[in-house]
Amino acid sequence: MAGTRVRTDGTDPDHWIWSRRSFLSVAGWGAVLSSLAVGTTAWGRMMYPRVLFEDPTAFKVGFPSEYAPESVSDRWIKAYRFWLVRSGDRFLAISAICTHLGCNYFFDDTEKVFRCPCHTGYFDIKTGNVLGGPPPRALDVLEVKVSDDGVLQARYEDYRLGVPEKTQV
Amino acid sequence: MSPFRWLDERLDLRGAKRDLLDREVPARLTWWHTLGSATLTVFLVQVITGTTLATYYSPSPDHAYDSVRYITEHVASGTLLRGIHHWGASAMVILIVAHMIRVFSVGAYKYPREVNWLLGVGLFLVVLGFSFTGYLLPWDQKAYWATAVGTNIAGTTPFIGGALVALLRGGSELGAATLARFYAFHALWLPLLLTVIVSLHLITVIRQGIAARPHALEVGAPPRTSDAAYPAYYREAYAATKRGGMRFWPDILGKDAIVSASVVLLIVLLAGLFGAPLEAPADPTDTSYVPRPEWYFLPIYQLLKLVPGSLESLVAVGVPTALLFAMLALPFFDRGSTRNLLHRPVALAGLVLLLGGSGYLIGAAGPAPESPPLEGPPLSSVQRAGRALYQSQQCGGCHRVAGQGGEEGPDLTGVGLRHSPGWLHSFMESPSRFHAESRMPAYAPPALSHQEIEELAQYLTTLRGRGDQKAEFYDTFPPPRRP
Repeated sequence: MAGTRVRTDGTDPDHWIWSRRSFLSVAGWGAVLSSLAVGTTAWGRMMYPRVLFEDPTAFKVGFPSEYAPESVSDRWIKAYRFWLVRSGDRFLAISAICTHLGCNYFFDDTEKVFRCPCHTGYFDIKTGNVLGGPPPRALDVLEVKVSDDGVLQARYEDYRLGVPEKTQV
Repeated sequence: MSPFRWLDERLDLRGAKRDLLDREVPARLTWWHTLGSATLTVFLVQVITGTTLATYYSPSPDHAYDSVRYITEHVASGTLLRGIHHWGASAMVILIVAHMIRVFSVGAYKYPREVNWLLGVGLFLVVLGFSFTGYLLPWDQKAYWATAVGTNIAGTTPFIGGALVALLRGGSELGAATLARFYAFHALWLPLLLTVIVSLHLITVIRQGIAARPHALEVGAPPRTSDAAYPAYYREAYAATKRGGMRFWPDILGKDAIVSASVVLLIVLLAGLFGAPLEAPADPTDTSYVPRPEWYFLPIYQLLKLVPGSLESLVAVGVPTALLFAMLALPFFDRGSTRNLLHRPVALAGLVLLLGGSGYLIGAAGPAPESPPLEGPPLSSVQRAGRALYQSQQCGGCHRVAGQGGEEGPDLTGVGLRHSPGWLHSFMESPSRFHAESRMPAYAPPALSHQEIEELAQYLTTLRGRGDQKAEFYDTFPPPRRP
């Protein structure tokens, strides 16, 4: 009868870790559990698609004379999502995405501030600094320079939202 | 032999009836005990309306909005169908929360129902997952921005924020990959998960019996459920509550049916009266839109306005996570054998604080601001493509629409009232054939493809002034060209 055999040296084959029966059982469970683990890991990886992140793009935004002094232009919002602010001879391209949670803010013409309608943050138009509300950091100011042919050039970049540090994604 | 007898002989239908329907239940169960079954009923309504909606829905950014509009405008009873699914979603959140409050108030999560409480918390999370993923599917402004903000909130989680956003969006931006996975979660993964957990939840209820009224399990009870004597006491006391001769059918199921039917009726009524909202199509560059979440996410929305950004993730991620852990830990920490809420001051205070706080925040968020009226009906994807061409081809350099644009060409503000898309298409191909003196360039291929010209023409027909006039075409075509 299985399970009741007693060896000549008095040890019970079924009460030893490498008995044939428990070896098969341990190996069976091991195979099932490890294939589950491998499958789950593969599934988890599968949920992350392989995407290529676009390099920051530089593009021309026209001659400086096209922007009136002390103006806030929404001309590039549809195409590249940034506001172009001219204060004196300085040009500032400011990412149109609120640094709080990614809503589009708007230009409040009466009080001359950028206002986000989502959680009532507002920003200085000349620096992008936070004037009030919950945003954790200033608006993301993008690089603008005048290229050799006298045309303004801006660079588009994406930054992580909702965190105090400005880190590129 | 009757078909019933034939089946009964093989499947023991009478036995199933005896075990399921005729089982004895505790006496004096209240109407509050019907909330769970009402939630289940609404879930079934959501499954039926949802699968029907999925028959027409197309989960891609190019077609999602148009397919939802098609359901609303052209599918028979489409508005009602969307309405039921929309109001059913709210009803499900209300009912599941009410059910949890009931279970909490009578201490039904205590011994021996700890596991079923955990399953219930799981169901609650799945229901919130349903509303979060379902929200994006119409791909209108509200959908887009709620998801943009929602996924950004997840992104503020310390350490794993970046990975979490990538998982939710399927990339760094909210786009086609996001819509596809939200659809898969909403219509495949979550229903599967919910069905499994609901089954376990119900099996557990059948095996453990319905929780009795608190008083019946308090008299002479050992002070703590962890006391060695408690299980024996509980078995005895619970068995005693079942001696009232109440049966699952009809005493419980009857009440369940009445409440469930009323809830479904109310949902259908709301759907018929108010339908489901559909705003303008998603536009990531629109700076005039004011996003606002669904009402049951308003507490967190309002809270986010009040805290400085440095505490952002603490509030947006920390508070819900802490609440979740509190719910999971509840049955293992609260081991007092008292079940009546009025005799559990800490639990009572916690519940009042949570509900009062949420209620206060919802009230503080105030009613939704009047959304600005759409300028005319929302555009289809072809018309939107036309609008994009209108901008990229700089049509506004010469033409004026509603006071914006150049003055060289004719004002197009009401052009859709005067000309058919067919005429507009032919005109744009070669304006000089229509008016010899026209200075407008010809847009026939290769300048634009015929499809692009048609998209432009379809967009132009939407320009109908203030929209209160009836279109009256007077198209005159030039004589056909000689080959």
